[in-house]
Amino acid sequence: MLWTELRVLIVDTGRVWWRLLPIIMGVYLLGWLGSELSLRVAVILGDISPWLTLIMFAFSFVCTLAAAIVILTLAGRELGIRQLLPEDEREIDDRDTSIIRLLGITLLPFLGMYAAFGQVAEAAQRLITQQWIRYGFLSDQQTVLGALYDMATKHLGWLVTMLVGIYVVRRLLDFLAERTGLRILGIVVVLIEAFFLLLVVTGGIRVLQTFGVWLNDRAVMQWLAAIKNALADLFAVFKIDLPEILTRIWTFITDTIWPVLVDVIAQPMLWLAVAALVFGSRVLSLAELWRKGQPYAARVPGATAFARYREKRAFRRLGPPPKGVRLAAARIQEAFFGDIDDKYLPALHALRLVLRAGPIFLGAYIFVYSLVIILGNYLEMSINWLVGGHEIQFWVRWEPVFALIQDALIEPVRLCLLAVAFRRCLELFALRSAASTPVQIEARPEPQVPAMASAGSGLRAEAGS
Amino acid sequence: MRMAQSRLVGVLAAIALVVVSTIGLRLSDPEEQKFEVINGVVGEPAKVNNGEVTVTELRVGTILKQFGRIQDSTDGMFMVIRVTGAATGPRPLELNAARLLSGDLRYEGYQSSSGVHAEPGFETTVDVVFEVAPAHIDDLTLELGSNEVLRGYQQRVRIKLGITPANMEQWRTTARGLIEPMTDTTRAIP
Repeated sequence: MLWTELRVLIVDTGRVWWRLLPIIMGVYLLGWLGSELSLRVAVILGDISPWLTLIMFAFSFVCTLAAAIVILTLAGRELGIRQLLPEDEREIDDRDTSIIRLLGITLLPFLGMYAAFGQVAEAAQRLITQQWIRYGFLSDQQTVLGALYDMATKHLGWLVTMLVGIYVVRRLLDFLAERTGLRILGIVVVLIEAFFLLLVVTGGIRVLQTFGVWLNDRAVMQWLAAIKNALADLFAVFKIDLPEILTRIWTFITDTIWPVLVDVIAQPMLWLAVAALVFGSRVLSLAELWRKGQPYAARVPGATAFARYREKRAFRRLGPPPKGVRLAAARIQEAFFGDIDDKYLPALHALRLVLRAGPIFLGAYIFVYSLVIILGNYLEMSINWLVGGHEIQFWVRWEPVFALIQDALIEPVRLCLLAVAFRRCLELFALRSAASTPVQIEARPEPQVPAMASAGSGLRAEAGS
Repeated sequence: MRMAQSRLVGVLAAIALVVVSTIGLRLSDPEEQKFEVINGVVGEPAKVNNGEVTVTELRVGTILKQFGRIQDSTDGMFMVIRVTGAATGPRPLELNAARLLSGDLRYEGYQSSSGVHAEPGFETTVDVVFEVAPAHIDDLTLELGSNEVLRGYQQRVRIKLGITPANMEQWRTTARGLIEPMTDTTRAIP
C-alpha cells in the first residue's frame, strides 16, 4: 500500500516531467525572464517613486505565478485530470478557457503561499539589496522599505484608505472585465490584485511591528510581567524554576515542533490544496462527491463547497428574485462575498479535501515532496561547493544565474509532483466512491482515470478491502 | 477490527515518513552551511580569495594594558592573537569579523577588537583580543570572515590555536599578569 503510493508519486512525476520537459522548461524560463526583467525595471523605477517599484515588483510575481499555473495546467492535462469530468461539464468552468481568469482566481492563494513560506520576503530582500547597491546605504533616496515604513508608522490611516480604495477599484474592474470580456481589463485586475496583496503583506508586517512596540509600552504588559514574576516566586518555593521550564518548552516548540509542522507537513499540504484550484471547481466538486462516496450523478449545481457564488445563491434561494433596494443590496453583497467565495474559500475547502485522502497517501506525498526539496538543497550546496566562497559583489552579480540553475531543475519537478499527487487523490476518492456504491459501479465499472504508473491492482485490492 | 488495525498501520507509516522527511530536511538545510571553510594552522599562511592570512603568535594574561595604561582585568583570561593579512590580489582583503570557537561556544572580539583589513599590495598585522573562560578553551579555533550586511556564500578562515586537553592546564597557569596588544602595523608586500 505504502509502496504503491510512493511508486505512483515518484514514477508518474518523473514520467510527466520527462514527457513535458521541453515545454515546461520553456514556460519556466519565460516566467523567470519576465520576473527578473520586472525586478530590474522595478529597481530603476525607484528613481521616480517607490510606489512604482512596488507595482513592478508585483508584476514580477505575476510572471512567476503565470508560469507555475501554466506548468500545472500542462501537467494536469497530461495526466488527464479534466477527462474525469463528463463531456458536458468540461468547458463550463471559465478558468479552462482563460489563463487571465485562472490567474485572477488563483493569485491570492498562490501569493499567500509565497508570503507564508518566505518567497515574498526573499524577493523583497533581493529588491532591497538591488536598491541599496543602486543608492548606497546612506542615501536620502526613499526605498520601498522606507516608504512602507513611513506609511505604516506615520500615516496608518492613509495606508488603510489606500487598501480600501485599491480593493474597490479592483472589484469595479473585475465587474467590468466580466461584463465586457476584455482581456486587458483582466490583466489589469490581476496586477492590481498582486499589488494589493504585496501591500498587505509588506505593509502589514510594518503595522504589526508598530503595534508590537506600542503594546510593549502599555501598562498591561507591566501587569503581565508582575504576574509572571509572582508566579515564578511562588513556584520557587517548591524548588521549581518556572521561567526556565517555560523557556525550555518555548524553545522546544519554536525550534523543533514548529519547523516540523510548517516546513515538513503544512507546506506540502497547502501547496497541494492551492495547486488543486488550478484544475477547476468542477474537478474539486467531483472529488468532494467521490470523497463522500457519492456518484457524479448526485451532483446538484451549487450544492458543493466548490460551487461558484451565483450557483450557490441560486441553489439556496427560495421564492422570486429580489427587486429594487433588495436587488441593490444583493448586488453589493454579491460583489463582496462573491469575491471571497471565488478566491478565498476554495483554497480552504481544497485543503480540507486533500487532508482526507488518507494517512498513507499523505505520508507518502510528504515524503516525496521532501525528497524534491532535499534534492534542491543538495543542488544548492553542490553549486556553492563548485563555485566556492566569494565576496558579496560576486553574489549580487551571479546569484540570479545560480538560482536559475537550481530552480529550473527543481521547481518544474515540484509542480509536476503536485499535479500527480492531486490526480492520485482523485483516484483514491474515486475508488472510495466505487467501493461504497456498488450499484453505480455496475453501470460504470470504474472511474475513467487514465492511470500512468501501474497502480491498478493495488488500488482494486484497497477498494476491495 | 481489521479495518482499525490497517488504519493504525497507515497512521504509523505516515508518522514514520514524516520523521524521515524531517531528518532529511534538517540534514540538507543549506542555511547550516552558508560559508566555505578554509582551514589553516598557526604559523602557516592560509590562502583566501584576495590574499592570505597568517596567525603568528598567541599570548594570554589577566590584566589588559592598552594605550600605555591598565585598561581592564578579568577573572577569566585575555587572549591576544597576532594575525597578519596580506592582500596579494587586485582587491582589498577584508576579514573584518573575528571570533573564537570552542565546540558550540563562541567568543566575540573584546570590545571593538575585530579582524584584519589590508589594501592591495600591502600586509597588515593586528593583535586581536578576546576575553575567554579558562574552563572553555579546549580546541580553541580562530575564525575570520567578512562582516557583510548582505548575504552570500563566503569564505571563513578557521585556524586551530593548538590548545588541546593535554596542554590546557599549562595555558591556564601561563595566563597570569599583564598583557599588552600592539597597535596595527601596515607595510608593502616585498
